[in-house]
Parts: sequence; C-alpha cells; structure tokens
Amino acid sequence: MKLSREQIVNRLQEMLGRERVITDEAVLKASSIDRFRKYEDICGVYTRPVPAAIAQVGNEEQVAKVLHFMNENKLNAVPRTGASATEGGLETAVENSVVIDGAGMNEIIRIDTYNMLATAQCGVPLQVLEDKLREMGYTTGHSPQSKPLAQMGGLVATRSTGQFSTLYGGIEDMVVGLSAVFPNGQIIRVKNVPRRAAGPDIRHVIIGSEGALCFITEVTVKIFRYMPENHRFYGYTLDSMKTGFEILREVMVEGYRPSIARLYDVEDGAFHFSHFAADRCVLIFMAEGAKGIVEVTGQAIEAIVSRYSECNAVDSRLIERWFTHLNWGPENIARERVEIMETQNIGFTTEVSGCWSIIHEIYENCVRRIRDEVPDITMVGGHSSHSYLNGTNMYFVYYYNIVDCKPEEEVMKYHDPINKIIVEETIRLGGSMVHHHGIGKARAQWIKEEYQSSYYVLETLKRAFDPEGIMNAGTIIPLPVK
Amino acid sequence: MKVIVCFKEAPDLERMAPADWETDAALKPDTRFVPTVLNVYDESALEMALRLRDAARGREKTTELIALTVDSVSPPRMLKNLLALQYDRVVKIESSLDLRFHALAVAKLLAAFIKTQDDAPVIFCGVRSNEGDNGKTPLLLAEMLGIPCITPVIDATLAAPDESLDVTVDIDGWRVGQRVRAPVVLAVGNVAGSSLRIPTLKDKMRVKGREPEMILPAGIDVEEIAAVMAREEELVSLKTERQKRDTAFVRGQDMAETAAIFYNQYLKKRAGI
Repeated sequence: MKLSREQIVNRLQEMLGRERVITDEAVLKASSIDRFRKYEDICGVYTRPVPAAIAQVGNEEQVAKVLHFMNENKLNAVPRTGASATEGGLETAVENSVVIDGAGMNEIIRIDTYNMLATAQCGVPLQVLEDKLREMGYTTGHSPQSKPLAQMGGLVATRSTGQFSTLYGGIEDMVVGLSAVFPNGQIIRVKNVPRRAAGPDIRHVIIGSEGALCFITEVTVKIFRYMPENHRFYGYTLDSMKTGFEILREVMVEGYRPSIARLYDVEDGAFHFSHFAADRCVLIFMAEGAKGIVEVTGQAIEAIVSRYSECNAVDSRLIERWFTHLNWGPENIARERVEIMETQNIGFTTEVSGCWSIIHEIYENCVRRIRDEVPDITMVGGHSSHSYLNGTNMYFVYYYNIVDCKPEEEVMKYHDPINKIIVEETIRLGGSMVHHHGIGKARAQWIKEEYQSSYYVLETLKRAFDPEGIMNAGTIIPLPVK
Repeated sequence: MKVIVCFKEAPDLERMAPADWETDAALKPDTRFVPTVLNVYDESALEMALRLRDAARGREKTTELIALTVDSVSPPRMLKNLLALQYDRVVKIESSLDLRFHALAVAKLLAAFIKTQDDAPVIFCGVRSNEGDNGKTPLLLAEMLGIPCITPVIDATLAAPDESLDVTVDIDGWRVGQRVRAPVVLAVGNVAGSSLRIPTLKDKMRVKGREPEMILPAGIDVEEIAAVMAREEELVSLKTERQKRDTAFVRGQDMAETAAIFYNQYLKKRAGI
C-alpha cells in the first residue's frame, strides 16, 4: 500500500531526526523545479507535483537508509546538491517525491598534493574547494559558470564541464574515484588510481547519471598546479563563424591546448563585447600553465590566426576584464529575476556538440529556424566554448518576450519549440543534443533519437540499478506518456 | 505632444578591475576595457516615455518620441533598438570631444538641438549618471532653455483630456504630485520596475534600413564648446580623508548575551531610548 505524505515524513523523521526533514510549503514548492522553470518560480506558479519532504542527509549511511526506505515503498527520490540545474533534472515529476539534499555533506576530506588528488563530499561547493586549492597553489581546473553555486556531487552527476575544459577536460576527465549509494542501499566506492584496464570503467556508469541511477556521496578529482602569473589572453574580431570554427579546429588539430578557446557570433557577442566588436564575431583564447607551455601555445595561436586576414587583434585587457565577470552567483540570479519581472523578457541556453564537419551547419540551421519559427524572439545567437580534437560545442543563447501567455504555458509556447529545433537539427546532422548541462527532463523526450541503437545499454543500466524506477523519475529516460 | 528623452551610455563600473581604478595623469580611471551600459536613470526615462506613448494611443493627438544622445560610446545596435521600440527619431549629436564630466558642455549641445524643434517638448533626462554623478545636466539644460525642471521624477502619466502630464516626484520619501505642461524638463530618478522593454527580432526587421541620425545642430560652435569645457571645474588632485572611528568587539557568552550587550551599551544610547 502506498504511503501517505504524513507517513513518509514520519518515517524520514525517524531515520534522520526532525531537524533534517523540511516540510515548509514554500520551500517544497521551490524545490519542485529548477531553473528550467524559472519563469513559473518568479510568478509563484508551480505546476509540478510538490514533494512530500526534503531530506537533508548528513552522511553516506543516512543516504543509504533513506534510499532503501524509498525503494521498499516505491517512492521517487530526487538527489540534489547545489540546485543550480537548468534542464529540469531537479523537478519532482511524480507525487510524493522526496528531494534528497546532500548540501550538508560539505567536508573537504583530503587534499593530497603528492598524488595530486582532492577528495570532497558531495555538498562541497566547487568555489570553496577551488579557493582552498588556490591558496595552496593548486586548482581543480574546473570552472563552470555556476562555480559559485554548484557542488561536487551535482557537477559529477550532470557530467559538467568548465570554462578551461579545452586544457583540463570535462569533469569526466577529472574524476579519479568516487562513492555512491544505489537505490537498494548498496554503498559502493571506486578507488583512486591513475588508470585501470580491469574491465569497463564503471566510473562512467555514475558520472552523468543525473540522479537517475544512484546518489553520489563523495568525489576524488585531479588537481593541477595553479600559475596565474603565466596567464595570457588573446582576443580577435572577425567576420564569420565559419572562419572562427576553422581557426578553432586548426589550433586543436595542430596539438595546442589553450585553456579557453571561444568563438562568439555577432548576436551573442553583442551582449559581452559591444565596446570593441560592433557587429563582428569574437574569438578568444587563454593560455595557462607552465611558462614555456604558455609561450609556445600563445605563439601558435597568434601564428594560426595570422593566416586569416579578416581577424583583427584586440587589446588583451579587454578579454581579461570580460573573463573576470563571467561566473554566475546568487546576485546574478537575483538581478535576473527583477529584470524578467520588469521586462517579461527571459533568456535560456541550450548546448550541443558536433564534429568539425557539421558544427557550422548546426549553428546556421538552428539560428535560422529559431528566428523564423518561434514567436516573440528578441535575440538568438551563440558561442562555441569547448573544443576537442574532433569537434566543438555550440552554446545557443536565446531570449524572448513572454506575450499573452500564462506562466504555466511559457515552456510549452516558447522553450520546448526552441529546444525541439536545436535537438532536431543537431541529431539530424549527427551531433549530440547535450554537451554539458545534462538531459534533465527537458530533453529526455529525445533520448532514443540521441542514443539510437545504444539506447539498449542505457535502458538496461536503468533497469539493473533502479528496477523500481525510484531514482529521479523522468530524468534521462522520460516518464511514459499518459 | 513631442517628447525628447536625453540618454547616454556609461562604462559599467562593476566590471572594472582594481588596476583600472588607478588614475592616469589626468586623474581619471581607465574605463577603456569594460563595456558600457545604458545609464540606469536614462533607461527609466526611455521606458517612461514609451509608456506615455502607449497610453496616448487612440487619442486624437499623436505623441512624437525622440531619443537624443551626445555620448560617443552608445553602440549602433543600441540606437537601432530604440528605433525598433518605435522611437520616431533617434538622434546622436556628433562630437569628437571627450564630454565626460562636462555637464555644461553636454547641456549646451542638447539645448542646441532642442531649440531647433518647432513644438515645445517635454524633455526627459536621467537625474544623473554613474559617470561623474554630478546631477547637473538636467538643471543646466532647463536653465539654458528657460523652462522649469522637476526632479526627481518617479512617475509621469497623461492627464486627461488635454496635453498635460501628472508628474510624481519623490522628495525624501514623500511623494508629491503636480500637473505640468510642456515645455518642461523632467529629471527621472529612482523608478522601480522601469527596465527598458526589449524589441523582438520582428520589431527590428520592421525598421531595417532606418538609421539613427548623426547631426551637428545649427548654431553649435565646437570650439566654443571646447572652451566651455576648458573653463569647467577641473580635478587637480585627490586626497583621502581619513575618518577615525572607535571600534569595539562585542563579546558575550552566547548570541543572546552578545545581542543584549550590543543593545544596552551601544544601540540604546544612540537611539536615545
């Protein structure tokens, strides 16, 4: 027999103590969504089922107890740490969900500068870990825009990437070992070793699982020497995105690894660079690391860009100033709320990836179709911000005025159609519909098109580790359509 | 009714790096490396004028909106956005002079343009900008035009049925209403909920081909303006004024005792309780 909300709360309180079980209605409503439904949140209209409680877990054993209880009673669990998700991954999609909040598990367990490892509990804010490491002359190399908000568990669960990924890689390249709890209460640990060939790399079952398979409790990541005195910035304006993609490709194919390699189109660039790049695309590089590597990387970038006469160099201080204000903290979110309320203009992003041969077409098709097909658009553009040997990402940025539309209709009228265009075009051309935000619930509807024949593996993983389907229902794998 | 809104873009000082605040030989901070933003008070003024136009729709007499700037940094894209928002004219007074911190010169240029207009206008200005922060331009402009200046305005609505405006000002937290007619300068202050609306791509397409006007109004003598600037106040030195204040650490056994000590020994006395 299904438990009532009161019974769920009582049982959680017995397991964790009353102080760790949140039942305040306003907090529960706010916890039924993430930033994908920020307009509903601003308007105070909540359309998702309100969770029964938020369980603030304090250690691995508590996570195991709570998950075991929920599994036994077929209750939906939504794992959460920093709550900075943008794709609906934190939405409580079914009745009587429990949000399992790991933000209180916030101990930095060990920093090992000999083996270059940092181990942190899931609720350690990346900013805190990074600040501590920098005091010691080290860095995680991970710097997502959400750094002031995001916490280690969520970053690993969403397969996050950062602004320096072209040098350091995404979080999947940084995680050495981790701990997690599965829905049956099983606690597992993947040990810290430099490499292994003992069968499949099971870290990747967990990294990117978005709370739909397990709850990540502890993470060990690589650390790197931090040498800000060697940082070098390079900026160029240019006419076309096509040229920009070619330059990014040449830098990568010739074997250089700037920490930042970014290409902005005119529309997106206007948001950041109107003071020096009116109606032009902008190409940005940053080189960091040991002095010799930085010098060689910088020289190579300058040499490669010089082959393209349409590129004009700009003062590196313009790029440096821009970069220091790129992250998003609580103050940005508060300001954004006010602006949205006042203007009824709202912005979102959708990120995809593709090989070099298709990325420009993905960019052009998506921008053209959004302009043509979606009403009330005020801006659509984007940038490439993470490059690889084989290709790069496109980070689409779009704003629209919300016109004649109830808060609960905003996603359906505007956001879903835009996502549909981006996903359709990207998959049709052979790219991936998600680069680093996670699938969440917003893009779960296209999961089979994304995975194609390999969906078999994903579906089997889900069945094997979460046979009762209690882990973050609707995330990655969509709920059945009623 | 003719409405002229004077506006400018100014450096986004929040984006300055510490090194940028080290003044140069002319004792000015270096704002070259940060983007500009629409001065927040001017933004409110631009939106207030649009709301007036919205309210006037359907009335017999039309409202003509002119956006006017003398700054040299407003991006062309921003000026075009104002056209897309249905400003009838967007006028940029061309000048190679560095007008920052020169309110008198700015007012002279603005006045020169406004004097070329046939109809007596309602003139909106932001009460001040983050650059210079002198708050003089609207007052100087009104004086040059020989018309009243009302400041700081927080609301302006059409008064039925004639062409008067009901204007609300905020004076030390008190709201005072008055009915005014053109010509008048309204210096717009801190208005809640007045972000400038955003034009859609279709709005922008509708004004494709239209460009902001770059003009130098008749009667303007650039050399005279430069001379005015030279006579204006000049910053010759900066000195830090040190204000010593006593400091005490309030420490109790717990938070309640700490709060009690703070209240009884410090707050109570200052509040005269």
